[in-house]
Amino acid sequence: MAMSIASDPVILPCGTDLDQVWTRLDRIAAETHMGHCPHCQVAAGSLRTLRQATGQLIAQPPAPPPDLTGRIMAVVRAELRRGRNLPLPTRSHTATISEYALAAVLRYVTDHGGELVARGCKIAPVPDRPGHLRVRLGVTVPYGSDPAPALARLRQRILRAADAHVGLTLDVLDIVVEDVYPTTPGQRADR
Amino acid sequence: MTVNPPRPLAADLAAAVAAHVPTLAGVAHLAPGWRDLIAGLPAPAILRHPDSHRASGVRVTVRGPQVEVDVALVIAWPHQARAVCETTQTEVATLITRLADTDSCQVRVAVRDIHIDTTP
Repeated sequence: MAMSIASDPVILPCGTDLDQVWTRLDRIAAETHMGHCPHCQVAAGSLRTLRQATGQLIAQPPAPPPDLTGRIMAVVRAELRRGRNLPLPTRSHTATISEYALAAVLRYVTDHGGELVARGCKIAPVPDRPGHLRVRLGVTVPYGSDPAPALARLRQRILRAADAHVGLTLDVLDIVVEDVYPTTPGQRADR
Repeated sequence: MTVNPPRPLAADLAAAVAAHVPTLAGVAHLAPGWRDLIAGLPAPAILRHPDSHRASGVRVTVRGPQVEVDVALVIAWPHQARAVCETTQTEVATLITRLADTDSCQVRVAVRDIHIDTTP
């Protein structure tokens, strides 16, 4: 069966269908009309060039970029880290922020506010309240001191940061002391 | 007879958006996903659908008179993510309106990460 580029037949000025030239391409010299018609000869020459070019393209092994594997793995790892997307209401359109990005902000605020160290962070949207979240943040506190004042300050910093740096409101913020670390210099707990 | 100029393809619009968004205040850079890698692979032009194009963290889909744009980006600290999203949506909608000659443009922005530069 002859294959054509479009469904409509392509008719040469001499009245020959281009598909006929294609099907007889390798024995065109023996054809009564096509073997002598200049229109058919030109068309046959073009088709031969096309066949040769496409054959070369097909035979060419695909050459992926040298860093393709590394790029794929970097993106896959990043996608896995980002977690789910949380709605971030804007004036007129739709926006989202990844759970990973928001947790990074909350951890940064925690770790750079004083003596507390951030640990696990769980975030969930409040049903039917776009832009409002519930957050559970685990922290490590220094051993031997009352953590209450530092926890109160941290709560205020986190609530401000969620609004100022992200644009979200935390309806519920549970800060859970998960561990203590020794207060000897240089022995601050790992995150 | 008035001849209307050809409408830009989704690929042209995506390229324009991808060039403009990283210049906006508060945008650290675009955040390509794994699906964007496919667009980078060599493929015959006949396989690329003119109405939808994805590359470099930007996807543009043309549905008749409506243009839909998805932008994935990373915010630069200490900018507010929501404000940057709103700016991006406004800027992209204006750009698409100008290039594609349409008033119907939906822009979705996804913040993938926030780049906190802690260097002094």
